[in-house]
Amino acid sequence: MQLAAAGDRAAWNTLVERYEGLLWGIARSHRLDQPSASDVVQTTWLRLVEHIDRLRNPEALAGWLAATARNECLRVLRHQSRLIPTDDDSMPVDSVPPVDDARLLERERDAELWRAFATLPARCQSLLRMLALDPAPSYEEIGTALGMAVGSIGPTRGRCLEGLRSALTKLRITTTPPGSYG
Amino acid sequence: MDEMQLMTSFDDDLLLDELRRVFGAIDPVPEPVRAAARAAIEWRTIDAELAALVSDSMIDEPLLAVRGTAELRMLTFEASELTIELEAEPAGDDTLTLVGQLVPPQPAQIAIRHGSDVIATQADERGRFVACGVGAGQVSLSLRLDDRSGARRLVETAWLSI
Repeated sequence: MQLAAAGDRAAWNTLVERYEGLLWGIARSHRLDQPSASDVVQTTWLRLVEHIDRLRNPEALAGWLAATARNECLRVLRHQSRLIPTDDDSMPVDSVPPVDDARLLERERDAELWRAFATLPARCQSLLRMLALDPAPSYEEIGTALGMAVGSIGPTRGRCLEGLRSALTKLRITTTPPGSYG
Repeated sequence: MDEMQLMTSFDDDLLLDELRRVFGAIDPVPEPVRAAARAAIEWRTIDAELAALVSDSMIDEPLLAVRGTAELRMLTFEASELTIELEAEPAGDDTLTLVGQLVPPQPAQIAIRHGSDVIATQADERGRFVACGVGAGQVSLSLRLDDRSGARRLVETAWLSI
C-alpha cells in the first residue's frame, strides 16, 4: 500500500486486482446497473488515490473500501429514486443482471443455479454474492459493505443457502417433464 | 444421480464455490472498469492541461437570472482541441446535477471534485456525461482522454464556485 501511495504502478495494480471483485460485488449487491456500478467502483478508487497517504493500516483497507463503496451506492440510489419514483416493495427482487443472462451460461447446471439464486430475497442475493467473493471478505467487511450486524451474518448465511437449496429443488420439480421420474 | 440432485445435496461451502463460479461467468468485473481502476493512480502523476472557462451563463446572461430562468447554469470550458459544455442544475437538496457534453464527442473518464470529495463518471462515445449529487460550492472537473494516437491526456478545469 505504501508503494502504491508512492505511485508504484505494479503495487497499485496488485491492490486493484485484489479488491476489484469486492467493489464490483458491493455495487451489484446494491442492485445498481452496469453504468452506475462502474461509476461507484471508479469513485471508490479515486477516493482511495486521494486518501492513500492517510491510510496507515493496510489491514483496514478492505473495510475502508467497503464502507466507501457502500456510501457511494446509497448516494447513487438516493438520486436514482428521486429520478424514478419507486418504493422498495415495487423493486424487482432479482438482483442485476436479469435472469435472461442465464442463456449465456454454457452449462445447464449453472443456469439452474442462477435461476434459483434469482428467486431469493434481495438480502440473500447480496449476502451470498459477498460470501462468494474471492478472496473472501471478513464478516466485519461484509457487515460494513451491506450495513448488516456482524452477528447476523452467520445465521443469515445458513438461511439463505438453505433457501437456495429449496429453490433448486423446486426448479427441479417444475422443470422436469411429467413421467420422467419413471 | 444427476448433477442437479448433487447440487441440492451440496454443503454450504460447496454451494458457495458453485456460486463463485457462476458469478465469475455471468457478471465478472467488466474490462473497462478494471482498466479505469488501474489507471486511477495516474490522476496523481500526469500533469494536467488547464481548460479555461470561456463562457458562464450567470455572467453572460444576467437578465435570465433576473427573470428566474437561470436555475440552469451553463458553462463552457476550452482546452486545446477540446470543448467541455456543462449544465449545472440544482437538485433541490443542496446538490447539483451536472450534465455535460464533450466537443468533439469522445469517451472519457471523468473525476468531479467538489470540496474535498470526488465523484467518478464517464463520458460515452457521443461525449455525453451526467453526475448527480455534486455538492454545491467549489467544483473542478478532471478528464482523462485517449487521443487518436493512443496517448493519454489529462485535462482539468479551473475551480469554480457553483
